[in-house]
Amino acid sequence: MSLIWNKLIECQDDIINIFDSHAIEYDEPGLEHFNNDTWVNRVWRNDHIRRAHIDVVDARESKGLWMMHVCIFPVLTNDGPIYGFDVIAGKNKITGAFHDFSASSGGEDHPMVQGYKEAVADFIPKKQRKLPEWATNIFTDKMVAAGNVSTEEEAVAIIELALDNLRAYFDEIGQFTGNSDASITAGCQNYYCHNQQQNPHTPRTMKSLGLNEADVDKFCTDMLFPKIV
Amino acid sequence: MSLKEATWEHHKDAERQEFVKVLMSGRINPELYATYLWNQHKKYDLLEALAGALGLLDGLPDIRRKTKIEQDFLELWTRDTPPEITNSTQHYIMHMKSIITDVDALMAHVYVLHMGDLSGGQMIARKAPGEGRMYQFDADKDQLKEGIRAKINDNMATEAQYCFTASTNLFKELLELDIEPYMEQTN
Repeated sequence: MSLIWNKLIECQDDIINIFDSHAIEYDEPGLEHFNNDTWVNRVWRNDHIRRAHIDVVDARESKGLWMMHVCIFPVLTNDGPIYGFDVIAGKNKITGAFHDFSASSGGEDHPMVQGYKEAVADFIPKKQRKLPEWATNIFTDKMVAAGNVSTEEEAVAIIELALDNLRAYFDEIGQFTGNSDASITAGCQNYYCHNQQQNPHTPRTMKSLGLNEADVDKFCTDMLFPKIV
Repeated sequence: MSLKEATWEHHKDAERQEFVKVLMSGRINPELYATYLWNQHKKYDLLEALAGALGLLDGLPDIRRKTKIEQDFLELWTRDTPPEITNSTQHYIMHMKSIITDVDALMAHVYVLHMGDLSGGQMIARKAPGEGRMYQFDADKDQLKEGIRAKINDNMATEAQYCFTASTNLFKELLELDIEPYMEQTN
């Protein structure tokens, strides 16, 4: 019994319900290879979202860890930001939680990025830890990065924040379709993916969960942050 | 002044680096060359994704080098963990953020890197360890060069100079790593 895990699995269900109510789930070629008893990968899309991805690795029994990655890319004519929420948790604490609305072709002044910054203002510590270059290249200066979250209250606060922002994201993103040239947004989304692919912790963490090494390397390049080519 | 003339000094400065001498000796340590490839892969991967998104690589069949560089790297790299990404490569990635939508600036990088592979790269291919897929083109090389020339203009000099300087800095950094430059003599 773990309150933290229970809260996170409820969060996973809430995210899937939000995806279901706003978008259509589809089969992405190649993604079926990364679905099994402990690893779930599902994707949705609608007129304004080209890919809403949830990736959950449930290694509670084998490694005592549970991980979720959520990432949403708008369609290429939409200059809205990229939604991201990542969390990894042991039985008694969230060891890492990261959340951001990362600027795309609309830049950091985009209304949705500004709205995000206001929504997370209370979660940003005065003294923020130094981020690696790949992260500062793409994340806003108000990215939520939390570690060692061991109380239910703190965990719920982060989860509720990510869920509230997800609902707001789906409510607002449609206003910005048609605002951008597709080639420019493709470049911006590719830049985001390229920098995410430089994160050495992602494959390391996934391998530590017991996933096949070759699968993880292919997954991180082709499925987690796929560039548009 | 033409783009070639405007970048001549930067081009020569890159070619004069000690790393290039090591590479052209035919005795470069494969580990050092693989480290070079890994850093190049990061740059080409991003450049081709950005230039491709804007349609700059259209009409240039087989110009993309990313996958071939990765294959060359995997052929030579024997360690479990990847090589170091140098400061100049990190700076290059950061710099590209400022030119994501700049057609001329991105094309300047294609001119420096891909034209380099089609030209001087053909000599490097004879000296570099491994298969050298990075320098092999299925398409006609002269036609590809013409295709690139048709997309460049003289206003690209500043960005092309930056790209040459980034290569110069990478060459310097590679020799500052704790890797023996030359492969061991076997006789």
